[in-house]
Amino acid sequence: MPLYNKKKIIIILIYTSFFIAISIIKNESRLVETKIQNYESKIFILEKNLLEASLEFQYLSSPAVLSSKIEKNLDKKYNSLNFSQIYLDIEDFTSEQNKITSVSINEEKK
Amino acid sequence: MKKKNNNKNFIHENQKSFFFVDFLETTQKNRKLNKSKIHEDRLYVLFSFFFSLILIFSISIFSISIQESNFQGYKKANYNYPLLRRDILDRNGELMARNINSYHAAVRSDLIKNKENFILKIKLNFPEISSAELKKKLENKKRFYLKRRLTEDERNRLWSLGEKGIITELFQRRIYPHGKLYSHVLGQTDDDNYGISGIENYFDRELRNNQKIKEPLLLTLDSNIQFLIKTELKKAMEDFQTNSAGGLLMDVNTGEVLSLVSLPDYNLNIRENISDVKYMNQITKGVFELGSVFKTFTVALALEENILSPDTIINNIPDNVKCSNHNISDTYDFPESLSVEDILVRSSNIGSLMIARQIGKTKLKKFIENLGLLKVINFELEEIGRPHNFTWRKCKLETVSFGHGITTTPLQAAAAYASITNGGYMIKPTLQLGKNFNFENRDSIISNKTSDQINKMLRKVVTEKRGTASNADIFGYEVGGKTGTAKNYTDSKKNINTFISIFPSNKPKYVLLVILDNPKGAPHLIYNYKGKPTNNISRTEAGWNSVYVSGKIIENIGPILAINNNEVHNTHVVKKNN
Repeated sequence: MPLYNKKKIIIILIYTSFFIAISIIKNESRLVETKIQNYESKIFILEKNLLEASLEFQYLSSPAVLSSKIEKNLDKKYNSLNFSQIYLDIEDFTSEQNKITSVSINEEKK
Repeated sequence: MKKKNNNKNFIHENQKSFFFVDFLETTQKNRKLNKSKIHEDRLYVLFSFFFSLILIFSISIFSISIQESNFQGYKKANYNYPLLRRDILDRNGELMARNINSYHAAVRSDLIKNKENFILKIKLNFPEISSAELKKKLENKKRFYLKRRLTEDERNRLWSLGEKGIITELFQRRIYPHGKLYSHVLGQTDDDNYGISGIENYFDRELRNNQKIKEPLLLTLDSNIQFLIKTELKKAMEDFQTNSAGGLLMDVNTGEVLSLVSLPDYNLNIRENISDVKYMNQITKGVFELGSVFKTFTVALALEENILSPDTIINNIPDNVKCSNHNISDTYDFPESLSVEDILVRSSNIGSLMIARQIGKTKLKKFIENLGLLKVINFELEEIGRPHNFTWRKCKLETVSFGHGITTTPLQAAAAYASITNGGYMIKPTLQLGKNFNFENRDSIISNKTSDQINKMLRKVVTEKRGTASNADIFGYEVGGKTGTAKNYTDSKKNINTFISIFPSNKPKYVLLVILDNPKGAPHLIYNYKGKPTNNISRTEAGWNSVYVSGKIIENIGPILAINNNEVHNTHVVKKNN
């Protein structure tokens, strides 16, 4: 019986290759896991920032804050629109604008 | 020894003949064979040694690979602190409440080496913390809370002290970005994130539902409208020097509450111990005698029962009526004969009383009960008032007909107005958006015809020369409504003034209730009374305060509600097109 027969060599080779493959795969999967973990952390931080930013936005754009800022920083006085300033239809608006334009053109001609 | 024994074996004991063996060759072969056997044994030993090593490593690698990384778990626990309560949004998606991470600061006394220096540092950075108390705690307690609910700035200041004994504890706190705006609706949570009042308490279980944690709870309220109503009411509290004020806007068809304001209010983000009664929710918890707003119910029932029609003339109306110990009279002198419509438009107590006598006690009692004015209303808040119980003794029919001797909450009164003006369908006020309304199987309280008649009369209360609500005649919105000026049953020197309006009155869409507690005259205000600017008015009836405020509110919120009605179309759009 030969000392190093084919079968043994093949088994050892297969085993060794599996062994190496396992360690490579494990190493790769560890790297992928780390990447996933990093992305998860990043996503979490971004989500947290988004939540905080949206909370801040909701606060800053709340009617009470907006009106106080307008009063403080702008000279203009904002009033509610009267019905005469509201157009219920886009056609009403365009016809009104056409009238205004034609009047101003006529005035310029005079 | 072994070799010798082997040599002996060449000649067997029973051997009879012999043969020649190449002794040298055989011996060498045997030697080689023996040697190789020894090598093979060693190789097997070595192989089994390495094989077992590889096996051990393989098993350990396999076991590691199937285990979840502890490192990952650690990070998850630190970063992904799960939310404990759902967000609350208004009907436009505006945020009303959200949980955020915050910190408590605790102290471990045994880790503080220089205690006096520590107290000094704390005093410099947090002057509000009592040094004496801190010293006492440091001496007596091993661990105690230094400050709860830290802001980011406070946390950084504590961090910069560099004290080992200060521990920051992560917890979740509820933030209300609108601050005071919804104080009487949203309520608050405790330190453990359990709702203790308002919506937070009523929907506590739903808000803490883990499976829906990322879905917000949607309410029917509108932040813009809420703000506009609150602003006007706040202004009214200053103008009319009232103790408290309340406003409610509701969809008459669905019962959805778009705005619920009660003043004075408080900031939900600050923990305060409030015990003053004026801070209660005036709309849902307050139980009042609302006065003349009840006349609408009396008239509606008379029309529904076909006892009277709007044009029926009631003759011989006396100046006053003696009923038991009470002397019932009108505020103004009215003609002896008034139509049913005039009785409502001019708000005659005696006229309403005479209508009620024609209806009868049993029917009026049943109608008031069916309108849900006398029971505790089922609404999505914990702060709900209970109307006072009373027995329908002598004179009760007469006083109830014009809203005296009967109490209810403003919310119930507004809901009853919605039911009467929406075509006669009973509605249930709600704060939860997206509830399934069953429009087909709604209960009717009055007919469509009666509802239309009432709407026309309510419109005349605002438009008629002798109506009590001229200050609410805002162009474009066809406002109708009924005023109520009543004595506060706890203090008869004080008034409770109410105006319940509906708009547009040709097909009502919204009901607005404004209630002011003991308003004073406001001579500085310029009223647009029947199209003329008028000032120096010191009158205190609802027509000069609650109605005025309602008009201002409708003027402001009207464009947001985008009401499309005939009044505007005929007088505004058609005019523009021509």
